Amino acid sequence: MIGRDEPDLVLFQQELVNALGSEHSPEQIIETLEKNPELKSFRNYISTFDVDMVQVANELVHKWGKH
Amino acid sequence: MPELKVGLQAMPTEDFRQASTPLFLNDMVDILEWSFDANWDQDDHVYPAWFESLIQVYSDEQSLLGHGFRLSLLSAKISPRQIKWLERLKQECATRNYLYISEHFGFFEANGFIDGAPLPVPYTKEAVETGQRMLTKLKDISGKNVGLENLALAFSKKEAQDQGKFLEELLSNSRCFLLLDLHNLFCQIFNFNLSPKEHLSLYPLHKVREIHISGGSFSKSWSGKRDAIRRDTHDGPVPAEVFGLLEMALPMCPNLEFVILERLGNTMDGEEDFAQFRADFEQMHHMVKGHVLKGR
Repeated sequence: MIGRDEPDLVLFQQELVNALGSEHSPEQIIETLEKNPELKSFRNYISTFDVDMVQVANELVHKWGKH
Repeated sequence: MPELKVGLQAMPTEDFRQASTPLFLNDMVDILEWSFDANWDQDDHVYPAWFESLIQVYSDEQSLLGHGFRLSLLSAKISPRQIKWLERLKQECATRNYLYISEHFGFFEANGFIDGAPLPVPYTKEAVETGQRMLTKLKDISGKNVGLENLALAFSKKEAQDQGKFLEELLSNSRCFLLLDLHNLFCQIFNFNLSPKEHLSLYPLHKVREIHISGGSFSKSWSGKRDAIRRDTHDGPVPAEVFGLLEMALPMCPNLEFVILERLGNTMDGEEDFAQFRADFEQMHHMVKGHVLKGR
């Protein structure tokens, strides 16, 4: 389990789907999330992201995600 | 020790009807599972008469499992759409006799995205509490035992290896169970080069009441560091590796009750595919019933 503080999961999920719904490359998506100051408590978690898996998530959001 | 049954995920499509009819006629399908919420976004949706009859027969025989996929169980913020989903579930459970209800680990609803495929969730105290709250709602509203299916996608090897512990915490209530999808597990094993037995052992196998097997596909690796990425697309035959996992899992899941073959509708094209689907079911049937004969 990550973090002993109370990270804001609502904010993380919002920023994650926004980033995955963008037209950026998986590398850019990871960089955007890592540099987001509001996601500081998730930085260690984000730093473990595998580019291939972010690409899969990116495809899933573009294929199935609906507003 | 519970009785062990085999079944199919029901699809309201012509390919499923043609491929599965001989299995039903031979009385091989003990249990039927279906995704009751697949068309809840279309008020005027009508299923084919044969499909309605099939669901009703299994409901009447207390042999129907409900498998939702549109709740977004681990969304941190509950939405009006999810509240409506829960209200609809109450009606659904009053209409049909479901043995159990299950949903998927992960989330897709956030910040205006209201539909999609489940994504991983960081393993935090807040996420565990969010999931436990939603599982309690599901349990109370349905009046049933509630299962959660493991997710194929993980953002890292560590996340794949932590998912079993995360699920164990989420499912700590005695009326919650693990729906172990072996193809999802295979995706993690393939994509992160994990040992099948070690990876399987990381999941709370005493909580497994249901197993899914299915096929999938490969896609290209973006980074080029892998030969391919295994994807949970439910559109192909069951690979030998998944049958291998089933053989391994059967003696390790003492509370297992159901083993279900899944294949998406409209993914079979002609008699060759129908025969392959039946061959997959028959192999699963043979393995599960053989396990029962050996005394489990």
